[in-house]
Amino acid sequence: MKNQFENDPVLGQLSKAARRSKAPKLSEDLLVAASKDSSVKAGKFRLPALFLSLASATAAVALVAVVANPAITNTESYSQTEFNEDLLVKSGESRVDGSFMSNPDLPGQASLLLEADFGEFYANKDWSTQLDLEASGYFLVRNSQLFEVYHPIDSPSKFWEITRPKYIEEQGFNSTGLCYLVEYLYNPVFLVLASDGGLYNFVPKNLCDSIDGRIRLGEYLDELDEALNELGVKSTPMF
Amino acid sequence: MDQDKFVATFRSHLKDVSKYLTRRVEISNVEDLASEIFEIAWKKRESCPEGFELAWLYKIAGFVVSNHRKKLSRRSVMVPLLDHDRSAPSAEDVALDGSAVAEAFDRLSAKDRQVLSLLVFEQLSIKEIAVVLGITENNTSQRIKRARERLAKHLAQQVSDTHEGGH
Repeated sequence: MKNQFENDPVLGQLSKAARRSKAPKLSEDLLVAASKDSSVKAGKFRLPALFLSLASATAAVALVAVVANPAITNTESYSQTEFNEDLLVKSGESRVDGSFMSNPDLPGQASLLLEADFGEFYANKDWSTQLDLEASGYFLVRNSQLFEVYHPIDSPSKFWEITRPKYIEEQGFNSTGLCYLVEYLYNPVFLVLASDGGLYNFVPKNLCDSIDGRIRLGEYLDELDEALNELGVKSTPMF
Repeated sequence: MDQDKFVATFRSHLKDVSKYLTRRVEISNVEDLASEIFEIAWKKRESCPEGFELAWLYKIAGFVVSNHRKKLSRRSVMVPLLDHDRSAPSAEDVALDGSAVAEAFDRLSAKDRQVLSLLVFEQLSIKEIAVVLGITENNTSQRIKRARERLAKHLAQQVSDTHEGGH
């Protein structure tokens, strides 16, 4: 087989270094069996563990959420229906409690990202458009225990910030992991402090997509951290 | 898509799926995991993008391999909400024979190894990799560019270390 990377000094080396692996031959029967009713192949093929994992995780999170705050199931603005919409949710009453702080290092971090040409890569056009914001130059930044959406150019009145986990937990949600995502029926939920002072549900669907058990937001934030690291910027804990 | 069309569509990809899995898991697990991949593919066949069947299969395969590795490491199913993709092969998995290249490849992040392996080992196009990773073509190109740069940097470091070691 021709090495299509032979003219690339880096990828060419990688391609040449890979030994040809002897992969087992898979029979076409495997396709036939996979496309039959599950009852036919009971015992031979198990249900994909991924589905089971998702089902149990969903049930567990739903249970925890309801136990933590029984009223949550009656909260209209957090209804399941909203999560089926492929749109950012900006509805319901403001939930602001007036005790927010901004990270003083964020302007510098975001400007550095823009200057180093990371801007286009990390600006999330989908949700910023849905928020009626200009599409470019917005960053969702993980800062220790905090998510923040930041625009380095606009005035502070247009500073969008996702609030700290403590507040989120006070709303009866569960925060999880290093990033304190809020789970509600296995859907990550964010609250965002908008320029009108209101705190709104924030569902960046394209980032929070949890199809097949993976959430793109995790990858996005890892890449953003990587970019900041390359620029020599360390996250600064806020609280 | 009925059963006949499903079989006809994916028959030609059996070999590719086998190779993909062989590069990432023990050979004894290849058939079981392939069955799992095609079961999921059958259930989700209506969402398969036309013309990108193999990339779509690799996307499913990535989830299946990740899940398989998570099970091996006996981690809780609740943890992976923001977990890393675990489908990226290591240098050992792809049996890299040049020690400098193997070391440089292993020093990359899982994300870099994943995108480079899809490009170099699975020989997918940018468009196909974008389907596998669920990101835009533009982001895919940038991710490849940056991964390649990091690999080049690690390779150069290897050469430099070797050179210094020789004196």
